[in-house]
This record gives sequence, structure tokens and C-alpha cells, in this order.
Amino acid sequence: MSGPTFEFDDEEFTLEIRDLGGGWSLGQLGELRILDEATLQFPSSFSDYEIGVAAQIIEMQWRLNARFVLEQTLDAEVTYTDADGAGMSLDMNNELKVHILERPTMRLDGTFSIKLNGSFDGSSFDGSATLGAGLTLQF
Amino acid sequence: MTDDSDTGEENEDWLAGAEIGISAADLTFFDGQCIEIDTSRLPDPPDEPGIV
Repeated sequence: MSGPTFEFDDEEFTLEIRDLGGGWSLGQLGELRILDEATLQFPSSFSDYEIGVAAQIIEMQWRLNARFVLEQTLDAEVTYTDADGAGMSLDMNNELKVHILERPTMRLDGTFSIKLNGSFDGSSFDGSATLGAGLTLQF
Repeated sequence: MTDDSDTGEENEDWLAGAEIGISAADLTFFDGQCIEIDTSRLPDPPDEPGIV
């Protein structure tokens, strides 16, 4: 049975991961059941039904695309602060990118902002989404 | 960080105790996808559904 139809018009959902310990690497975030580990914030005007649709979209696409998106985050602004507190920007290359993706962390915190754009026809969503990320990895 | 820091072993050394910060915007999460929703997992729809 089909449900109601509605549009997502760049509505933003925020996923917050706080104090993820236990040696998770950045790349392994793609293996997380993201909605079990993250706090999901959503537009206050949304009904439970709309939130449920959005949550399924995010959950399914996270499983499929998170690893690729997490790799992309390392092409953006990446800063490094050494154990003595001295900071610098990192000049990323492929080998370093892979190493940071795979290296277990002591602690990982992150916020992902996902904007959904498209239509729900009562049984399927057709559209796109963009993602912003703010992450802190402690080694 | 040294010039030969591109080996895994060297990276281990200079990353120990360090912190990496990442800030990225407007990445494509997915594009032009048709995604089937399991409506049996959804709560009852609102009485008067509207445009979000």
C-alpha cells in the first residue's frame, strides 16, 4: 500500500557521532549502522512519517556510499595537530589518504549534514543528496 | 612530518597522539537515485499530508 506523497526541498538532516572509541577508523564509519550510532536531527516541521522515510534513505545510501564519501572528505580541508599542539595543513596524497582512512583512532567525533532533494511517491524516493562533514580524529 | 612520511610505518609515528580535523562541504552523497522505501517500517502517515 502506498503512503502519502511529498517533496524534499534541500531539507537538512544532521547526524552527530560523539566520542566513538574502540579503535574505529575513518573508513570503517561506512560499516556503521549509522542511525544506531549517530544522533539524527531533522527539521522540526517534519512528521514522524517523513522522518521515517528520510531515515531509511539515509540508512540505505550510507551503507552504499559512505566509504566513497569519506574518501572525498580527505580531498577537502584537512588540518593536522601534533601531540605537542603544533598545527598545520596536510598535503594529501593517495597513500596518506588510505593510511588515514585505515588507521584506528583513539576517538572519533563527527557531524554530517545531509540535504535531501527529490520526491517521495508513496513507495519510493527519487532524487539526490549532498553531504557536508566536520570530523575530528584523535590517534 | 618528514619527507619520507608517506610510508605506513612513518605515518604511524607522526600520527601517534596527533589530531586530524576535516571540514568538507557539498559532497555528492548520491545523485539521481530511485530508492524503494519499506513502508511497513514507517509509522502511520499524518491525516493531511502536505508538501514538506
